[in-house]
Amino acid sequence: MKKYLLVFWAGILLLAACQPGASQIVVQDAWARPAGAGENGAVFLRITNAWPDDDALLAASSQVAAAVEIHRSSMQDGVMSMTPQERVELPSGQEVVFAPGGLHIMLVDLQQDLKVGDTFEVTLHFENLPPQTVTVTVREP
Amino acid sequence: MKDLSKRNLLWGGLVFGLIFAIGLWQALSQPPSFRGALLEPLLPAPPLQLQTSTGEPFDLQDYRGKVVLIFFGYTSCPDVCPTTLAEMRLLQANLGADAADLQVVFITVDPQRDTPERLTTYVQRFSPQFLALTGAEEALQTVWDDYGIFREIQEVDSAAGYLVAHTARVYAVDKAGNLRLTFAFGTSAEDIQHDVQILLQEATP
Ligand SMILES: [Cu+2]
Repeated sequence: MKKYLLVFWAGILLLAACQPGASQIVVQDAWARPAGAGENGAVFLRITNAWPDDDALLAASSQVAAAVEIHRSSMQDGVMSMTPQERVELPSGQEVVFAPGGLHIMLVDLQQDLKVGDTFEVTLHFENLPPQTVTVTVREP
Repeated sequence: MKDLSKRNLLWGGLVFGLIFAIGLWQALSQPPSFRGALLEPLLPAPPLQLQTSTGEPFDLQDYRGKVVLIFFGYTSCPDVCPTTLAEMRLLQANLGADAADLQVVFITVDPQRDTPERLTTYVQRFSPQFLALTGAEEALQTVWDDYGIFREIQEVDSAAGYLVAHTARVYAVDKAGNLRLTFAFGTSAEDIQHDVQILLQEATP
């Protein structure tokens, strides 16, 4: 009887793990460059939408900066410019890469130094799925 | 029959030797192939009549016999400028003792916000050997124009205030003071190092 109970609870746990929510948007390799208080920083990461429906990243927030924005750097005729993004599409089953020279989460007016080895939290806000907080590691690229 | 095969072997050896010699001669007589874009015609690098962020006058003439890498950017830039400066640091580290003849120079495209103190803090984070240059807007404009730097303030809806679109190339000045090469953004540190090593091996004029 005890054995059956164990299987029952294991089943409940398994079901809980499969509930929609935190694990449907998979964020990997979140990192930021070292930067000083008062400067601007950038967070890079990879977002995979493992949910059957499309979603979009609408905003990000963090305690470490006065403001957090989503930007895209782009190159035209050797000239680099940055454009704030209102939304970044996250198509179902696809990975979107935030990397140097492209998409980045911009930390405007850092409230603290970001030193190599430090970690801090950034919360990502999506159109459909609940917000997700990820830990960002400060490192050299 | 035996004689014939001996003769064939001799001829074969001769032909092989000839091909080898031609190849060697070609390899030695060809100019080194650069991975960055060669600037032609070869002209002296335009002067940089600016000040270092620590307040000393800067003169490019003082850097004859050194290879100077120049990059234009601004300290509020969190992505492209740090990416390039981090590459420069990696290059400097990889060169080891040879880096003594290398000078990395960062020139602001945003004098309004880039105070000397801000510039110093910014470049020193990458390397204490890097120099940041600034000056009066007029002097900077001359430098931007001379180096063909496009630079435009963009009023965007950002908490960062305005952003600055700017040419994101690295320029290499050789030991003779000529503006020699330019590297597009994203050129790997390895490719830049390949070219810088060739420039470092050139004789000091
Ligand atoms: Cu940005």
